Amino acid sequence: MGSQAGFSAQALSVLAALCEQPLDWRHGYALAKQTGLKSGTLYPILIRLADRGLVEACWQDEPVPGRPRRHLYRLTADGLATATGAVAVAAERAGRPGAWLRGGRGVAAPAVP
Amino acid sequence: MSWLSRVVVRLVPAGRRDWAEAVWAEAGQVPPGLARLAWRAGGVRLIAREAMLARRATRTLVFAAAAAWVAYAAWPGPAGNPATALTRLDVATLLPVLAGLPVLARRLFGPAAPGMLARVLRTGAYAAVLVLLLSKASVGQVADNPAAVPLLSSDASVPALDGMIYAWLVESVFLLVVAVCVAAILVLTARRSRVAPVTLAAGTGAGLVLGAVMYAIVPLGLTDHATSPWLPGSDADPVVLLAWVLLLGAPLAAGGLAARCYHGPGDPGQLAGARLRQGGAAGFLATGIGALVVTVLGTGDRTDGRAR
Repeated sequence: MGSQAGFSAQALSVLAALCEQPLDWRHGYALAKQTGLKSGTLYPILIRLADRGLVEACWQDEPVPGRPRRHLYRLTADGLATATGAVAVAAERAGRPGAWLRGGRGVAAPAVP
Repeated sequence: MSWLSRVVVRLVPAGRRDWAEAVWAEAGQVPPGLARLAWRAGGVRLIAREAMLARRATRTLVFAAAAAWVAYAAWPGPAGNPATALTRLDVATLLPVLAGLPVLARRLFGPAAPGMLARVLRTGAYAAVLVLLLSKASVGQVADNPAAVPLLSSDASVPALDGMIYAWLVESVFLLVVAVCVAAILVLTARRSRVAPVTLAAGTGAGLVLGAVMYAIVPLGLTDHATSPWLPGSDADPVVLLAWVLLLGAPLAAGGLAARCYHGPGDPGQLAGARLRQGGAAGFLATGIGALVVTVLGTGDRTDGRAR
């Protein structure tokens, strides 16, 4: 697994997924579906991104009755700038957009022209 | 969350619990069946990983505290005593080496192998080296201890400066051997070195026996005090012969046992090579642990001036 701009391919896929709707809060299962990552891979990545101040997390204010509160994530301002740059660099290095995600995990990759 | 999951989440450090709870809470959104089971398995992995990271931080703190205490206790010594300078060299060299080696080993060979034995071996090796440092310092801190400057020549015709150079040279070799020994134990107990648990067990067992027996006999009759007072005899007596047999035989026996017990994957050709490597690792481990045990016990014995 190569790393682009200090991020693994999986971390880049998470950043790319969060970049799509940077203002919206996303929950873990949606991110897992979008990136194709398992929970045991996705959450450590989210933790590292949060530790670096790139992702912010909060608990859902109004949970659906009968269901537990959900943890929500979105990019911080720094995170958005870093993610945009990292995804662009990764795509550029790979020669075409989304090529860095080849290998089956790249659900969040931009469309290949 | 069920009470069980609440208890499990408590294993994670306080600052990380939200994340563990988040995975668990999110499991309710995953379709029931295998997918949900896989999601929860990922949660268990996350909890295990975070709990392990906390343990690593604890280990680092414990080592830092022990190293600081050893440095504090070992540093003082009588002025003008050459052993004091040698002790300070030991402290200034070995403690940073002990701190840096695990980082290097982790980068090159991965974390510690799963299982209790690998951890116990690493902890034991570190404890042994720290005790060794303290023991050597204790010997050196007693100015009139005849064991304090064992390396300086008592021959008046040898200039003092030559004696010091010789002492520093020998000390450098000692430091190198200890560092290599610790590095070898870290490598052999690392995940990527793929040393089988049975190899670790055979090497450790043989090394402990070798070290204890060699200490009891006093190694190889190479000193004036070839045997212990309670085992009187000459350099050629059967006890010294037993020491030689053990020195060569224990690593061979450990290697043979490890190779015989190893049943790894692969075709017969690969298996033969793998068994050879496992045998070599067990033999090396037995030698290293034996040397460490006999050195620690032997140095400790000289602390009160009773040079054996």
